[in-house]
Amino acid sequence: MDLEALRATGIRTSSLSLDTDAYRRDLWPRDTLRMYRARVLPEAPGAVVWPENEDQVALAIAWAEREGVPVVPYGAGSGVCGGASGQAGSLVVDTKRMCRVLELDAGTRMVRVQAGVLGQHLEDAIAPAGWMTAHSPSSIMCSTVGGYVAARSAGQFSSRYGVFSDMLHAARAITPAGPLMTGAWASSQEEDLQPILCGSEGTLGIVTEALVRVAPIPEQRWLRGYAFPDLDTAWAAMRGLMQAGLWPSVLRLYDPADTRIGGRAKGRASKEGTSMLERIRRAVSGMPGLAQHMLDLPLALPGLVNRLVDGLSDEVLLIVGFDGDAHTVPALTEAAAHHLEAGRDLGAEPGEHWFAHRHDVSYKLAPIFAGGGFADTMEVAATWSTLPRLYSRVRAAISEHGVVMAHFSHAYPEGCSIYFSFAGRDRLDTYDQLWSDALAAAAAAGGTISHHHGVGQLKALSATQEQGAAIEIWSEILAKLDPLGTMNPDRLFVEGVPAPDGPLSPSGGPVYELDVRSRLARVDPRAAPERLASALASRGYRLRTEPDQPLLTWLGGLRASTLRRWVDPLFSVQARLPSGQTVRLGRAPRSAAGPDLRWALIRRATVESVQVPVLPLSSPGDFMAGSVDWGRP
Amino acid sequence: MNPDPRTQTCALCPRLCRHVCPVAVGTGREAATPTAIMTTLLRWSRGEVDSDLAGQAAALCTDCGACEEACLVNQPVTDILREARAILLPPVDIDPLQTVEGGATMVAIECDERAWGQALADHLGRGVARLRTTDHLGVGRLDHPLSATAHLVAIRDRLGGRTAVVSCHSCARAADLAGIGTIHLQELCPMPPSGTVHHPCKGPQLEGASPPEALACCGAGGPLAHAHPESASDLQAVALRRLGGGPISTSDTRCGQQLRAGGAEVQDPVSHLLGLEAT
Repeated sequence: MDLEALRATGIRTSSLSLDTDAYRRDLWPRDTLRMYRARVLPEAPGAVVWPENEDQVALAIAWAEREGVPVVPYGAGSGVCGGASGQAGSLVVDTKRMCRVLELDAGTRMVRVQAGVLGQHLEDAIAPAGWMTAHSPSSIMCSTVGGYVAARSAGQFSSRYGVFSDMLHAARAITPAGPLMTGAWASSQEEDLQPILCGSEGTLGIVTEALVRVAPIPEQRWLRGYAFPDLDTAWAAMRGLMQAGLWPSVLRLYDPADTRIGGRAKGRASKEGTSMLERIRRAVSGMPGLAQHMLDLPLALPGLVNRLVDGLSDEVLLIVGFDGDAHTVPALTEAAAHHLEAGRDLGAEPGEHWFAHRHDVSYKLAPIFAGGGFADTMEVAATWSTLPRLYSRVRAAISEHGVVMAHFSHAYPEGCSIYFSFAGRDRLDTYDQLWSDALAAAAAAGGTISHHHGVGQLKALSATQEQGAAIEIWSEILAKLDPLGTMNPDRLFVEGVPAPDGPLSPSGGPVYELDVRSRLARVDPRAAPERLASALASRGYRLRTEPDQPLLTWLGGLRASTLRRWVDPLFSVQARLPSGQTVRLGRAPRSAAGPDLRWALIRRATVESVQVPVLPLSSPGDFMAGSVDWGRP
Repeated sequence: MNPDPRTQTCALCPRLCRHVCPVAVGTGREAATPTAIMTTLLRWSRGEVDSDLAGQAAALCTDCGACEEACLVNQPVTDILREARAILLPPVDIDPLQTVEGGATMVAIECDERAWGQALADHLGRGVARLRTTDHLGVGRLDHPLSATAHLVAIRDRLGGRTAVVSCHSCARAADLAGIGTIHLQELCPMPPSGTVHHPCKGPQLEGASPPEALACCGAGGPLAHAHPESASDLQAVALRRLGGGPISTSDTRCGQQLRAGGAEVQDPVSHLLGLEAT
């Protein structure tokens, strides 16, 4: 490794153990467990560079290609799937010295930033002018904009403002083949690779700059809690709010275990006395010996504890929030009222308590590791129709190995994500088996294996299987942008995995399937608009967006950066690839199981069907209050 | 050696204070995050890394305490690092302590090249003695309890029951630990904010100035400048960038020194006092 040649380029470079050691692990709990219990860390990189600009990123990548050294892009290392953990002898390119907020344009509602800026610093920089990105992941203090792009991040207010790939108007990246411009910065003559760059997790190149949509800081943020008798009733309320186009900024439903363990449904005033955890803590306070073993039983007998919690109550807590001004918030809450009437109004406190403490959970991980366990989270997603099955199957899989609870957030008109939190005994084999079973259960249930944490190493095999035969498209793109395989190798997807059998070609049509609960129709994309509209109308529905040309033509010409709102006009696509294999992509409203290959599939394969959003004919019209209207910049 | 349970908490934390740490932000070095530093210390306590590496890690700090303010579980990060440095790093060489010039009960601790004791005496209309120091009363020695004790006794002997007038947080810390009563020059001769204000991590702030911003830390505090001069220079550059190109005022002369070394025009309580004297 000729580091002198690298230093000669002027890039800040270190090969000190002090520095290389610090890049051995990201926040993948498996590596934390190994570090803490087994005293083993992932391999150390050979060197670290801190480029200050795009030219230096290009020089570093070129140097690595010449030297045959793998490059590991690194933002702030908040990934929880091992995507940025150490690779022996690699060159880590840390982007955090590229951290400037370059331009805030209130007219177009855009902020242009260097990709190494931390999320919190970006918000701090634009808040004085009255703006926010509204991207608020729980990692906001320890994650970068480049990481949000690379791993398809989602924040806590996504139900109104979208996930980061929705907010991203344009991006620049440096690949081994040269600069890549996407979204609004892409050439109109070329395919926009933004859906591919998002979720590529450093395997294509290094994101250097982003143009991000911003929204005004709301005058009011209305938050309230509701206790529902069970999950089914609460899911119906969430679905109703989203499908009515009310776009709440917060929609978080805690499952019975999470509701009971947090004591949430009782409201804050009585929480101190009723939370199960709080009662146990009180019982053992003053008895350090017992307190130290507080975790022993749940970690040793998770199945029993999960069943005990199951038997307590079905009641669940839903937190609802609306952003807006003095006119819109009352209108939204009034319109929301009938969707929430099956719930018991708990007042503002549960929502405000959540808001005030929304980042605290991250501080609670250390005691679990220190107490002889591991803690981790899994975020999956599916359509509303599939959601109950996804929840029960994944929960059952995890329950065998750890104590589990879940909440439902990141809701869409078509579906929702589930965020499982779990803790288990600090054994690597337990950890690995839990994840293997949970990922298999998610796939078998028909959900996506990741909504916003990405893939890394943890989910590489499952993500490869989820993308199925479409992986050949990915390989084709990768071969052009990173022909030598320099960028973050052995992450994201696994080579040589046989694609699962694809779906059968549809027959009949033009409407093949109508999922009323999820407001989705699988249709013939070549059907004439009138014929499709007529077929849908005969079943009481119409397309949410009604183009005046066949869907395939319309979708094929779409660019995400030209959409006025962050809603996705395409849900899933089924196609026959040049290899003859069929594949269907799109299991959930958003997925972070790697890049979004649906649009590339439309352009490269023979499309057999598409699944698109629909509305009942009786609907007064979508977007009554609207998701954020980005306008046309 | 058993692992210090306090290092475990930080080592297992997902870096939730990294955004306020001026060293981590100003340098971009992952190694400078409190999480990474504590991971290194944890591993050192288990015999997995050597003392040299652990000492380097413990010195990646300006002692500003921003991480402690951000921490929801009240981790005493600066205390842990000080204790680690006492074990891991050799005592810093310090200059012989000078004698106090004059017999007044108030002693001006002159810690840069400027002599301002007489100006203060003129300003106050009373006698002020002087004690010149080139290393902030040997503050670098104070991480080491054993060798610090003799030094602190020497400071106490020099100053006796007199009050030390200090103009920087380092001298204030040394005098405090020696049990000497201190008063900050800013309190005796208040300097109004002018230009852009640089807030020191500790000590009095300039009245009327905007709230402190940890990320504009100049890098002068703690062991950073001594142990990692390149990183201290990074912080100096970041601070100057954040403070803009114009004149800067700060209530701390050590910060003033650091910012002047970066080419800035800086007013501090000493220059303010000397300016009053000149007019």
